[in-house]
Amino acid sequence: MSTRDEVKIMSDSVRSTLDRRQVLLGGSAAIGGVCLCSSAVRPSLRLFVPFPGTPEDTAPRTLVLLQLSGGNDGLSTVVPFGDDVYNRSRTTIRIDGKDVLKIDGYRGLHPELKRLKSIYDDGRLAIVEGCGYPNPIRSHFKSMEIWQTAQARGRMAGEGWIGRLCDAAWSQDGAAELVVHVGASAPYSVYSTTHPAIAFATPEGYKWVATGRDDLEAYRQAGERDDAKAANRGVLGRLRGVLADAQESSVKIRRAAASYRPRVAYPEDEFGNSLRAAAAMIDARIGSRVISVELAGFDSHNNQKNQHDDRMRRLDAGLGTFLQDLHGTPAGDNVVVIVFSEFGRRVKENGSGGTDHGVAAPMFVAGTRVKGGLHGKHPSMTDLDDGDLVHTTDFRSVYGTVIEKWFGADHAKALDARYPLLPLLKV
Amino acid sequence: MEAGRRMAGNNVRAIIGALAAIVLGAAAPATSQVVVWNARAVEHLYNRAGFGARPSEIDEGVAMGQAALVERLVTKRVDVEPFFYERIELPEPREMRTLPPEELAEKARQIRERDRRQLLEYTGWWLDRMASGEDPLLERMVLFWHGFFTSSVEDVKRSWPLIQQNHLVREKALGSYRQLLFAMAKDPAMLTYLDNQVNRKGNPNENLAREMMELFSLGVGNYTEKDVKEAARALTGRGVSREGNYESHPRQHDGGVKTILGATGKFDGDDLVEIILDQDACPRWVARKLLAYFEGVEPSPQRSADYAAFLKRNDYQIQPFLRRLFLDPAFYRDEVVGARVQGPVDYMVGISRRLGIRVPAVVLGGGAALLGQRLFFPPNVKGWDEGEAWITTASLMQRGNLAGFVLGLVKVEDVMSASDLEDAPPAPVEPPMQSGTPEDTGATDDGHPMSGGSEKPAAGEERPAERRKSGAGKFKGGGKGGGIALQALRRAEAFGWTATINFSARLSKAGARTDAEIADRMLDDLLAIQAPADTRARIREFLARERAGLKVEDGRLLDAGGEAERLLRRLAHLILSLPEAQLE
Repeated sequence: MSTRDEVKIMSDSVRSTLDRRQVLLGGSAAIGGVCLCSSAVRPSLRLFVPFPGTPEDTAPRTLVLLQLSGGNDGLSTVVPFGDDVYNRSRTTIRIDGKDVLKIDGYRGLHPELKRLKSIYDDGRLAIVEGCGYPNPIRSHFKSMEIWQTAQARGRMAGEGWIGRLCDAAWSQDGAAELVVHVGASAPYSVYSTTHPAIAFATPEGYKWVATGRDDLEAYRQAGERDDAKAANRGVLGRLRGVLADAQESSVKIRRAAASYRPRVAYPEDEFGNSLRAAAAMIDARIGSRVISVELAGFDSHNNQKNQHDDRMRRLDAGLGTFLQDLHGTPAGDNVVVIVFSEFGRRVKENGSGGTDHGVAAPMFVAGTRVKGGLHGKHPSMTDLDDGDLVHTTDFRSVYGTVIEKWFGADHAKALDARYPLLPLLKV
Repeated sequence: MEAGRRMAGNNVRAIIGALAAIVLGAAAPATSQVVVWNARAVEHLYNRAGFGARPSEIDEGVAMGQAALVERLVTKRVDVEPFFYERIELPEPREMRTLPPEELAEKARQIRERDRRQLLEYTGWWLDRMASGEDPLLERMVLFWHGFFTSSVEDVKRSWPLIQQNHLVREKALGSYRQLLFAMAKDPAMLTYLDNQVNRKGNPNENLAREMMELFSLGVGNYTEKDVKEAARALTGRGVSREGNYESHPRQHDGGVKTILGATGKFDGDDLVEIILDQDACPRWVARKLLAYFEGVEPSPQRSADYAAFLKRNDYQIQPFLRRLFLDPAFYRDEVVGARVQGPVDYMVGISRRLGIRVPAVVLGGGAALLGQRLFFPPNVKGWDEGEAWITTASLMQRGNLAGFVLGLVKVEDVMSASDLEDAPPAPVEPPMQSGTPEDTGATDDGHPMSGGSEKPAAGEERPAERRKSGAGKFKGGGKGGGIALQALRRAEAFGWTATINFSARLSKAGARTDAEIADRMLDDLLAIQAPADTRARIREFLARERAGLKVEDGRLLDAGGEAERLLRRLAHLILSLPEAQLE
């Protein structure tokens, strides 16, 4: 019996959203008998897709994808304080060797990254140095698209890389909560027509308020769609899918958040809130495999120091707390975090105490089962391309490693190419 | 009975679509380009050229004919009393030094508050202009340019330059893009937003130069990194005076020879703009942006090129461009009509127009902010991403909640309540209003940071968080602006605002009696698109079931008093919550 048949039987009396997604995924033949009429009761039903190869896993492996928007200055994050070129190039925003959190005699973490430093010392934070891609683009938007799609052509090439990962790893999983973005607008990474992400900035209030007894059911029906009808193709069909996902996830998300008791206090800023919500979903095991979060405000053309220090403080407070909160819990130990930004910044600071758009920068990969320490190779500080660092590791090697080693899917399928995998994970 | 107006429109739409297909596909002679002018076409035009149509405007537009209506939209401006605003500034440092610290802090707070209010009032004035429908196309274009040549108060930190920028856009919205580009390259808010006041000879700052080419004129791929660096040099010395006006600093200007986009010379900022305007990529970029915005779908390269050539021939004049577009049968093709996702401002203003009620600007603006579009707070220099990006699972539900709010059915408390979670722990205690963190809401209580509040650490960062305040303080779905938007809605609640609607009377007047007639009429009036058959059937079913529940016969509902009116409001709430209500 195929998984799909099981689902059909399970959902015989209650139509699950899986049906809708199956329709969406082109599997309408398999559920031809399922009527798309309404049902008053629709208990949540989730299809657990067994993870290949690791039977000891009780909680599903999860990826938390953290996007630092605006172009994070890599040289102020992992500081090469021991490098003369660095010290000469950054006259006003240089971070002194005595202030950095030293990793070795050459580099150290930004002074605000105290929590992350202790996680690094604990072997749970990997720093992949010099990440980038060939023919770098210095436009925020185009470069971000490349990171979000893992394709040189950006959006022109198709869906976000998380969507591609879903197709490769969980093509049969139709749960609305499979991919979640915590934030106002979902980044293109999670853009997918087959596995659209749900998104919310705060779990509280994540609902549609019904003002009459039957209204909620009527609202839910507005998310139903019959693939055969022309109206359900195109944008209206997709919006109906969004409504169905919203209704499927509304109670689960709010319940998970309301009942969650973190072990460590999260900072009370937007970023801290989003990570707390992420931890709640992971802890409640609602079936999310990828959770996307964002920290913005890294575009530091002018008076960078204050701005960047503040970003680092928030990054450390939020992400450091999150990692500590999860560490040692069964669900939390099955989480890997990837931290990226669309580009680093130019080696030489500009005339206004800031830095203009650059190229290569480090990525972070963190989690209990991450092989911490330094990975890749620090980019040359002297052999620059028009003032910019030349990348030494293609960022898609990091994605590929997580796709292949963490989720057991074929990274070449998800990324349309093979990349050298990195020893980032203890799996 | 079928829903008369739009159902008939459907057939016509098919004809238009077919014609458009012929025109586009087979390059048929221009004589065959005909738009069948009916209610559907009029509403489409009003959706895109404005913020939706009142039923009476649709009837009027059909009677006027296409040419006359397009001409009126494109040329008829109204005389509006300008908004009064002034430059509000912190005291001079010398004066500040003479004040005791507490007094100084209080004074600065008051000034910030005045400045915050000024921007809020201006935003309200603008939203009222949109909702009034007096000059729909002008307001539509001002909103377009606000996303195109965008600047944020989070960086500019003063209301005055932003209002001034908006006035500039207002003045030139349907005029010359050429003039707009020249003006934006000297606009104080823009120079501040993109750091050009620190772009100096020998120490160039590339921010303005890059975004000018990437987003305001050419698009990626039509310039090189070298061009960015050289363009930055050309822009050196353009700054803002102490009084907040444009100021050129000759000694900070790099007067040397530059090579930009193939041209070489001792270029300054105006030369740069001229060079950019001479590029073929420039009209292409502007035409593509306008077409994508108004049609809601990415134009074909051929369509872009065609309109780009037209724009160039007309020396970048926007008015003839839009006239041509609104007369173009392809603008009324199937792929375009009803397929554009409304932005938050479109949605909120559209609700008020289609309901035919005056919704306070604070609700329109607060609602739009909750949904992700807070005027004068664009997410980044690219403005807002239009189209389907607006719709998330959260924002879709919040749109429905906001419609319920406007209809007087949904209270903020209802949205925050967790009473439907049964076994979940008690709902979070309502936090005090000022619950946002500095990051969420800026240095002052609504995210209008006059003095660099973003540099402060998060309030209470090290505090325990058993009871999370800021999360519970946000209505949505909203990220930045969520807290303030919620505050705006609560203010409207506290003020006791309720919409004055009488659906029963309205429907009676329109001659709708039966469930089917009522459902169809409501769908027609409240949606910007034609409801598909399945939705129509469901809405009728819903109404029939609920009407029966009131023990009223079909055809007698409008005589059933308060209960009927409440049912009709629920029906309106449901309709405005539909996926269909997000389209135009």
